[in-house]
Amino acid sequence: MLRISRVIAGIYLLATILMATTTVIFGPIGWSPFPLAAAAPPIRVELAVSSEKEAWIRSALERFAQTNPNINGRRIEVRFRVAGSRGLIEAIEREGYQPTAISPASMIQIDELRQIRPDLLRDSVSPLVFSPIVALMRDAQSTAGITNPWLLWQRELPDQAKAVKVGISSPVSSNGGLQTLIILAAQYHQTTQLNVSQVRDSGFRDWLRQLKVPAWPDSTGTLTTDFVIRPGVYDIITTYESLALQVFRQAEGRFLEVRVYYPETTLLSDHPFTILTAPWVDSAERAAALHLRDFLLSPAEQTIAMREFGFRPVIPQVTVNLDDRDSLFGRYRDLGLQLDLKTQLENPSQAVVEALISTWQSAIRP
Amino acid sequence: MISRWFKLYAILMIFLLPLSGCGDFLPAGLGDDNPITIRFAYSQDKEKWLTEQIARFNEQRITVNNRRVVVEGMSEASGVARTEIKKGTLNVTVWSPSASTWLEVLKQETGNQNIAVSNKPLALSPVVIAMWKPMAEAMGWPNRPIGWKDMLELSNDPQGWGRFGHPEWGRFSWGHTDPEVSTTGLSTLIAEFYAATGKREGLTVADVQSEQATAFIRQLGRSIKHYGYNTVVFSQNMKKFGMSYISAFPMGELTLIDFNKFDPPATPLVAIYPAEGTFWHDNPFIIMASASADERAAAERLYEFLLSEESQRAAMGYGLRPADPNIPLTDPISPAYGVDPQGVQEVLTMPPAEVIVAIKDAWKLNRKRADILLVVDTSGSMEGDKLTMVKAGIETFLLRILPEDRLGLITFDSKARLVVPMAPLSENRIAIQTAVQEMRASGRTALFDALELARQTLEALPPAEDDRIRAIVLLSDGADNASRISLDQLRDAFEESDISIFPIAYGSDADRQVLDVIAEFSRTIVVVGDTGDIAQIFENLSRYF
Repeated sequence: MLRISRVIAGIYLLATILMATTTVIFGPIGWSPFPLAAAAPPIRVELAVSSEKEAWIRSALERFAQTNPNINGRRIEVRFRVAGSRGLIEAIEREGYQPTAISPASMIQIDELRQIRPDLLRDSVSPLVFSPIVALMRDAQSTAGITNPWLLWQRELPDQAKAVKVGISSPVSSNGGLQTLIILAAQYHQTTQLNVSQVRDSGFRDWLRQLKVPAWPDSTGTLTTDFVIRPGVYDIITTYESLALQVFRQAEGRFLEVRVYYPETTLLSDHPFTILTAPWVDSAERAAALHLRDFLLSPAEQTIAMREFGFRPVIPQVTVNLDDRDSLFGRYRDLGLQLDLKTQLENPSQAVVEALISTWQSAIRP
Repeated sequence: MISRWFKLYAILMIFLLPLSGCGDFLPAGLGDDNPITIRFAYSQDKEKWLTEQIARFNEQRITVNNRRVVVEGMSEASGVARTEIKKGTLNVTVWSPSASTWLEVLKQETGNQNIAVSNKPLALSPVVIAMWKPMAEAMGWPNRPIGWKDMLELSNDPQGWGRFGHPEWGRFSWGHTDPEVSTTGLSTLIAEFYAATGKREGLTVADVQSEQATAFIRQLGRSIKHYGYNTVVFSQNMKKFGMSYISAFPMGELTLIDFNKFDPPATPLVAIYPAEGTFWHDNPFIIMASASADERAAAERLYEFLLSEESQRAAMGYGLRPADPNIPLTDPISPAYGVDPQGVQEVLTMPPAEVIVAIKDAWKLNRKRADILLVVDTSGSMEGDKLTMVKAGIETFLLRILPEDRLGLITFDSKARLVVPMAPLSENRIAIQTAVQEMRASGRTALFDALELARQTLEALPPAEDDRIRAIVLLSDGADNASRISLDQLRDAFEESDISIFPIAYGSDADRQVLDVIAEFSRTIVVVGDTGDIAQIFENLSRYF
């Protein structure tokens, strides 16, 4: 009996070894009487974001993935596309780009999309973070004696304004460029509420022509990177406060001396987040995108956005603390930072935006 | 006994069952059957960095849509690549010339504004004037801004370096590369036109064609020793011959760092950031519109890889400034290697493509002219393919030389003879072509006599109205065995002249020893050629004049 047992055990052992060896050499083999349950496919979220918050979103998505996000056991996978804010809207309109959710820099672009595709925007819109438009100026021979670049850009341009090289992103493709143009037009007309006739004004168009702008890059993010990596191309750029704070950190390793300046009346970008009510977004994707939005609005994530990426938080639990030397705001408080924004411009109507862009196009391409 | 069997069995099962159970491990060759191949042409100045990084990228076996991405890199001069892309003989997924300027030129020349779908910087380097440190210090470096106008004044001064208390350094001399193929050459030329007009932006075609600009370029050209194919050759010559070779040379900052960092010379070069302004070479990563969707996605993965911190720091090791603004500038971007991290203060605005084309045209009209003697070995050892290919090479050379350049032909076997006397190419092109076709190989090798005859011919040439480059292009496969004069006598004769000899050692069996000595006293370098590449060598050589 014992002998038979040994034989059976030996045969079984040999068979096991044979199968294992075959598996190692030729790959897995076997048979299952019942089909094995396949893993549920992931829920894919395609997020369209404006370029100036790329660094934050990229790092936030890594942290999001670490939370093992899922809806009813289905893993959430997020992909994102980065471009100038207006470029993203244009991609939806002209290229057939189909994101699940979008977050341009400003409500201006949401309003633009609403004009073109109102059917896509029936969902709520929540701001993610805030950041005002500022000017960044480098310390150079050409900028000596300039106390605030915004004061250069008055109705009568002084000679010095014509001698400095200004960088503004394209108002056609970027929110930063468009907002700068709105501020400059409001400053030119000394108003906080622009109308169509003001932005079509030939005097304003001629004034724009005299601004010394070497190039109009497609995104404010690209412009700001260029300002750091190619010193001498621009003396002054207009950008977001959040990017200016990043530049301060980068400038330390690049031997650049820069300061930030605020216009008397500025525009605040609110980075709206909304899920598109589109046929290509199903209920699972909607739920996943909401999950992502809640993550981005969590106190922990808002604190990171503020401390490491220079955005002003949108939830009351998180505040900017200039005494916190570990945050970008605290670390660079002496380089011109101004938390209190006295006056803010209202976002102009779509008609004003369109007229303004048309004026700009005729000014730079006479 | 049974328990021992069971123990053994249990242990084996613990190790083996997981192996047979888990199914979906990926075979090593996944996606290799149908890879996405990225053909990536890049400029020679970043060849070392990219060769290394492409190998690293390929090792990572990155996939896009379950297809492995394989990058095939090729080094090609920026201007040459643009010509080949234009002609359709170079089909690439990604192109990285030294600067975006070439993309603008390509768009203008092809009339296709949508030839590329994206263009982002990989790493940066400014154009600088590389000057020997003692010479720069004599001019006031680093405390005084120095620019193109200072070069012009020094160039026009009959005292030469005596102007700065150093008559022993002789006259100021410099050179630059051919703007048709070299980005540094093109940037230098544009900067010169800016300096000539006193403008820093808004250069127009009329500015370029103005008398003021023409005079400036011609005067500045008087101190040019010779032009060149790429900055590497000038850099090698500067290292070999030191301060006596040339006073200054415009180059990318990375080439200067390379010069000082690897095999450091006794006298270093320092970077002068021209006071009038300079240009950034942005080494763009250009994805061509001809790329498929998968190729574009794969190219984006390659770009991300090249922008990674490890790759960007490796680029900095070769003297490139990182395009990632978060990476601080450290060695070798430092004074220890002759450069100033904060050196660039003023950047010139790149003019529109039609102005760039006008600048290149103006240069062709106003560049320094040359008097060139072709000295060709027709001894017995040149018989067969060698002589046939030489004839084809000379044809290529003639196509690239300006009609106003004066050209002559000497052939030598047992005896040297002036076959076609010196005359403007517009007048003697047919005579040279006919003589070249009639060349036959026979006899021994009177190399030194041929060079002496060439020297006498050039010295006896009636002076031209303008200053000219004077050069001998020597093509030979063997050592002298029939001359009446010796090598020492030849050296003494040439030391008194300003004539440069460019020797081409022809064939794998060429005797290099004598040619090296000739190159040494002539302050040039022997070019080694073979039947397969002689046409290319002649074409490259034509860029020197």
